[in-house]
Amino acid sequence: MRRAALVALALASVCAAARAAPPPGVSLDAGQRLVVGRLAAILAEGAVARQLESGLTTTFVFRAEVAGRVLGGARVDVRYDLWDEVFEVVAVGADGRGERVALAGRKALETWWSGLELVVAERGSLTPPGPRELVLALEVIPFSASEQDDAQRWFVRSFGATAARDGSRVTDPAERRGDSLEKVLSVLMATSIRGSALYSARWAVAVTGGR
Amino acid sequence: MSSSMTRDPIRRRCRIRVLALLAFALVAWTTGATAQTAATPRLEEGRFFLEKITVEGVTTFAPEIVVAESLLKTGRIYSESELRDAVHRIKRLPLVLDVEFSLKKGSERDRYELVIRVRETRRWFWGLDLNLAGWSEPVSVSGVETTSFTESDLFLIGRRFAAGRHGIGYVALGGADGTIQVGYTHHDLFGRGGFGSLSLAWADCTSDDRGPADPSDVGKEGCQTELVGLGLDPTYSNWSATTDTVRLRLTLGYPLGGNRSLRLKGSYRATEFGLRRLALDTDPDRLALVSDRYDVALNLSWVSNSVDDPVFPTKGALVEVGLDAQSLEANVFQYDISGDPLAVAAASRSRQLGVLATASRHWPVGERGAFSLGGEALIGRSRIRDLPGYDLEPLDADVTVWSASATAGYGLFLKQLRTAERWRELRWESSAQLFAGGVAPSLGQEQVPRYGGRVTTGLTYRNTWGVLRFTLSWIGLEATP
Repeated sequence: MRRAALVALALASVCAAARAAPPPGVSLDAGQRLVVGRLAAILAEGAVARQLESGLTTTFVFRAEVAGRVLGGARVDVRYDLWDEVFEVVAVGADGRGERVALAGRKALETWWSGLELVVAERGSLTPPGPRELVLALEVIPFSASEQDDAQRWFVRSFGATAARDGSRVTDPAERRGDSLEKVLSVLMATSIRGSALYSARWAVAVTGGR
Repeated sequence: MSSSMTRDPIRRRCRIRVLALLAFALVAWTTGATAQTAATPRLEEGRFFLEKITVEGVTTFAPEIVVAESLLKTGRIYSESELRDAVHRIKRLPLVLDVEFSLKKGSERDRYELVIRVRETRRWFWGLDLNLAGWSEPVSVSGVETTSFTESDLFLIGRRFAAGRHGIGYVALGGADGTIQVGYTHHDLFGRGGFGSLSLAWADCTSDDRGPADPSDVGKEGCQTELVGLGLDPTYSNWSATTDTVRLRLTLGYPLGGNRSLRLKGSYRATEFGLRRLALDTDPDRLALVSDRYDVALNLSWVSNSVDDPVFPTKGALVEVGLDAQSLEANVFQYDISGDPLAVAAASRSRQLGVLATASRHWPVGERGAFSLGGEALIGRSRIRDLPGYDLEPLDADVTVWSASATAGYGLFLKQLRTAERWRELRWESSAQLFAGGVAPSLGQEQVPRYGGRVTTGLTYRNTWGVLRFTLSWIGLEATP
């Protein structure tokens, strides 16, 4: 009884948070990776809009969760160059692949955002007949790109050193990443970026595709 | 012999693993370790030449104070992480609830105007800190009775006012230091971003109108009751005041760049009459009347502070390392409960000099939570003269004093409303602390716990007027004979 009440409370809180914006679409692609798309038009939200125009970095962090377990995540860093009047954008999915674009003006940013598709969890994170629903969380954080720099350097250094000690051939960074490690990294990335969010939302979404 | 030989390599391996783990933890601590792949593209950190700094949203104090506290100067290039640190510095001002940075185009390409938008607190402020504590051992706070349940409440109400371009003054009633407090803080001291703060507090602790020097004050409740450190009073005693007491505090801070600074804190308190009571002893004969008490404390520390919020920290670290000097002088008159004198120790005095280090770090957990770890360590030398000990004989000793504590805490925001019109936050906070301390060589004092623990949980509420805190604690002390 108490458990049922807790579940109802959790669902109610998720639904309440999600009322702020329509939920994005989450689907399994041909490679069984979780992809998020149809992103809500949150760029016009008061605090988010102000931060985007501030000339300083704004970071959008996505996290995919099932029953409190983080499957993976993705992030988008946006900074408006006041002099060139372009938004410099870098989007990175859970697979480590990224996209870097320069968008001329707010309209172009919103168009790009609405068409954006991001891998939020790698293959095997959510395989049929596993759960077909998950919680997608989004946090919008100022300044976080710079906070990540040290952490990023530390990890690259640590991992590089380990590989070198093992005598493995280190040419392309992609070569030294196994699937399992990649998964761990995407989860770490999704769970490590935190800050005082300007905006946050959680959506309970049904996963489509992948049957 | 053979068993020790087989155990040694195991121990060594064990030691190496522990050291490796500690080294890993240290690296993780210092770098805020998280992970991301090497091939991941990223947005390079922005760097900006600031030709102008503008402050908006400030009505109750001068904007120069915000600029001074940011430590940002025009005509220099700053990275985003340096700007973020400046945001945190400004947010730690007691006048500021929140702050936002934004850039505007400057007079020519790649020059910028930094706009600092401040959400300030009110001129009037209040605070309430209510704690209910249960103890594993009966304790005496100040009077004759011992109790396993104590209650402390501090209420403060006051008003801030601007004093020139770099100054802020305040007047307050209540609080830990006294009935009336006046204070002044000067920012951008000597034009170098430092600050100086001076406060004077007067407290009326008169217990009744029979005259403060009357031995019948023994057993009465006092005010400003506090457990004095073992380096100043190795008997684990509470000291309190029963007459007027005056306290002067001075703090000077000098920035060393980034989040680092040098800080000097001084405090002087004079109390005409008061009480001294062994905290864990039920024998009323060990209750003393104190006169002409003077407390002096000086602390010079190197400080590194990157904590994002002074009331509700969610990330960042605070490290303080420095020299700590304290002295306590008083005449101690030992009476029994009927008022008959047992022992007199005129001009007892204790002095302690040590190295004090404190550190804490905060990590965000989930969307609304934060986890904290902290610790404090003190080691020093202490000289104690003519202070009545447990057996009423005057203590006369030079000792090494030490203490250490470790705290783990978790805070969860239950409510966070931060809009232009309203600002309300409610956080549930819990912590667990272990502490230990002592003097060497042992002075043979009884009823002095060597270690203990404290578990606290409660709610803290903050709005534009002030902070309200209600906590429940359980304190366990090592049972002594």
